[in-house]
Amino acid sequence: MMQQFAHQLRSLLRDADRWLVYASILSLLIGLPFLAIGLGALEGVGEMWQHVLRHLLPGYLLNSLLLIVGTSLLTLFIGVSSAWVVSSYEFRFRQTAELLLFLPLAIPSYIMAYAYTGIFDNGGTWIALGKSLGLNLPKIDLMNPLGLIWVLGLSLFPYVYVSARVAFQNLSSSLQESAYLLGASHRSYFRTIALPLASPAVIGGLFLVIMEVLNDYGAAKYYGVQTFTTGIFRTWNFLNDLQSAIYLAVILVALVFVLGWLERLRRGRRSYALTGRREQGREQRRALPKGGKRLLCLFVILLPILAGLVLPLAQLTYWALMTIGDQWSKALLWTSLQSFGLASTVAVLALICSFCLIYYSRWSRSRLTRVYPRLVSIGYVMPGAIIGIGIIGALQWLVDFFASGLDWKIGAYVYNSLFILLYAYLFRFLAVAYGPIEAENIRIGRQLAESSSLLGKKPLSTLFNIDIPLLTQSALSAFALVFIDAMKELPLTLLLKPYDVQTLSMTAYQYADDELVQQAGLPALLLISVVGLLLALLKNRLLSRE
Amino acid sequence: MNILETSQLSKSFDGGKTYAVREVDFRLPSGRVCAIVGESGCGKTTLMRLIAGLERPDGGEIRLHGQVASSPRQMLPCQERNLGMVFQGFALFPHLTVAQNIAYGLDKRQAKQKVEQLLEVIQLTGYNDCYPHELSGGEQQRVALARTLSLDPQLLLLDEPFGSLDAHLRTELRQEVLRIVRQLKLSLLFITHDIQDAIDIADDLVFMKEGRIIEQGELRELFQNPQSPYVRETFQQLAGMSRKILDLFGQDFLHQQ
Repeated sequence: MMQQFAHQLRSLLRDADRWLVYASILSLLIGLPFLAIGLGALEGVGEMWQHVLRHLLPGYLLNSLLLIVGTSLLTLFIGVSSAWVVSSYEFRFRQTAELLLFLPLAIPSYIMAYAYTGIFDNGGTWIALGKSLGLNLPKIDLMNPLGLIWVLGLSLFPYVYVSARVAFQNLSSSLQESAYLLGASHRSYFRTIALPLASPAVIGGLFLVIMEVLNDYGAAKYYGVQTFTTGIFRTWNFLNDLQSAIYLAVILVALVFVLGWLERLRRGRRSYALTGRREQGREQRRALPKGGKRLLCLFVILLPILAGLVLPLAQLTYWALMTIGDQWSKALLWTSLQSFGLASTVAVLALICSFCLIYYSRWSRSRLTRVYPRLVSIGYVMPGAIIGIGIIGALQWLVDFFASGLDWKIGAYVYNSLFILLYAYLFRFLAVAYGPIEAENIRIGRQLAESSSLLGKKPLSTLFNIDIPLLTQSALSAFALVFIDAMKELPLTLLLKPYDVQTLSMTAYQYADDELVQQAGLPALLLISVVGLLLALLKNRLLSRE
Repeated sequence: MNILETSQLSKSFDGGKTYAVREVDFRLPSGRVCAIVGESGCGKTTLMRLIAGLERPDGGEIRLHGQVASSPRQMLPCQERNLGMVFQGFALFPHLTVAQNIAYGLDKRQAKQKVEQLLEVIQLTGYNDCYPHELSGGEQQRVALARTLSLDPQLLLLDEPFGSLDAHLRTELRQEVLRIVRQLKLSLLFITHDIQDAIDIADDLVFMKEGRIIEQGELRELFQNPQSPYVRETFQQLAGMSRKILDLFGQDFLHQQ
């Protein structure tokens, strides 16, 4: 045991090279917020901690768990059933339905929440519609955990839908035919073969849903449901206790790790499920639904499309048309440009960092360079509020250090800096860019780069002549994915946005927060249009069999 | 003069628990063609990657032209070893044409002339503007060979060079490779799991099993007097197959061919 440890240590030291040094510096810089939370937690509890622990934490925990369970069940039901229908049945407009089921991803959960309030609130579209038809329709109250589950479920089910759709698509016709030859019905084939084989992918999608539920701030705050994330904001903003906010963040990190560990454990056991899929050949055959089955299919497809896309879009469009006269201004255009600019900049930064990490791990002999990307990718599963608090913790330390050591007052500059917001976005979304590029890099393999070396080229020349041209497609996808996430992002922007920077997501949020929800329609619609367009362009790539 | 020599060469990928290559002693005299034969997972490819300088050994050393090129403490960069390697999947750059692939490692001034020269050697004149995916497996392999030859290496390493080709093309390319190697007076080390590849073109054979060399020597010598049961069995199977073909078709069949 000791001998093996010594051998590993020796080989680690021996393999240390300049690439390892570069990768270590970059990873340390990117991973600083995470480190700050850890170090912050070591400083002890804050003044309000006892109050938070006794009166607030149980509620946060209970509500967060309720939201996780409820949203998981709803997204599982909608995502898996709709994915199964478009994968195993042939009907008119199937390909259009595939796209429409994917598009609710363009609507951030807080905007979905505003739209549903507009539909079902007092004096909302639902009541008005009833009145115009001479009906006294009952008011539907959504401002509670169940309403929030409905809203989160509708905006997040595409994560499960996409994972399940790809998994069902990868099932070959030979599996299906074997099952039928052995006497299985369509239903029992789904229950005993298709669903178990797709379950690792479905659970993977569900994990993303849970992370998004924990990340949500805007919808929960609007519906008045106290969760961990709203709690972190509240403890820092209203109780003015950063240390207790850090402690809440630590608990949330622990929860995220437990969930991640459970997901990994399950995936590990089920990893056999997708082995050999490439050899399985053709996609499974689609049946033609008839009679009652046809109606059921129609219901399964139309429910999420209507509730998750058509209704909220109709409400937002109605508001946008109502307010366009007052709202269409240079200021809104400038806000849109700032949103696009911020999202594009962070996407470019994420691409550069991803290429650097891939490049370092390619040429370094040290195994540590392959561990770093996994460590810095942790930002994606960290709710924005935690990252925000981590960065504020680090900045606080920096400000105190300069103030006490050098008598420099730098607070006004660092807290109100665009650079800090971009840095936070980078930490949060690096994994989104790194994932597709790394996957393509693995698919291409090491041999092309090694051939380039054997032909006398230096690593940098290989990067520009071989790696970048071959990874361009996946880099474009990665750019679009980071752009989409950064456009939709809210909690981090709320915590770290400089005073003079405004984004579409912030504008929509602020209007809704000021009880001017109609005014939120136009900025929300602009945001959804850009994100939806990009998602539509990415659809084939995200739903491809590979 | 040995162009390549390894002594006590070892490599492990899991912290010393199991070795992919273990205490390998072997030498390749200049101008010879040598085949490393063994089943999948026996350490052939790792040995070749160690020689190419793509992996660092855990123990032992590799000498090229008498100079130490690899040892646990010392690594000559692969670009400076004056050797060429063709990978099993050929590793042609998919976004570059045949001419661009061959010219990749060359100075721009000399590239055009050299590309034409090499295309002639591999008998693919006129294929300059084709992309790798537009070529057959055999053509791709020849382009990979030409690209490797562009830097005038003295030692050529081929990793399973005929593995992905059909039987007819395989025989043809074996002779083609041998012709080029002899024409350019190169030394060739190639790995294969198929004894027929080895017997057809190699002067010397090295048999590997579980990371170790179990027997090596000149082809005729090994065939006449195999020491290890594994090598004896391999040759016996081959001889058995030949006998069966002769029994079925008779001696005249050979002459008809």
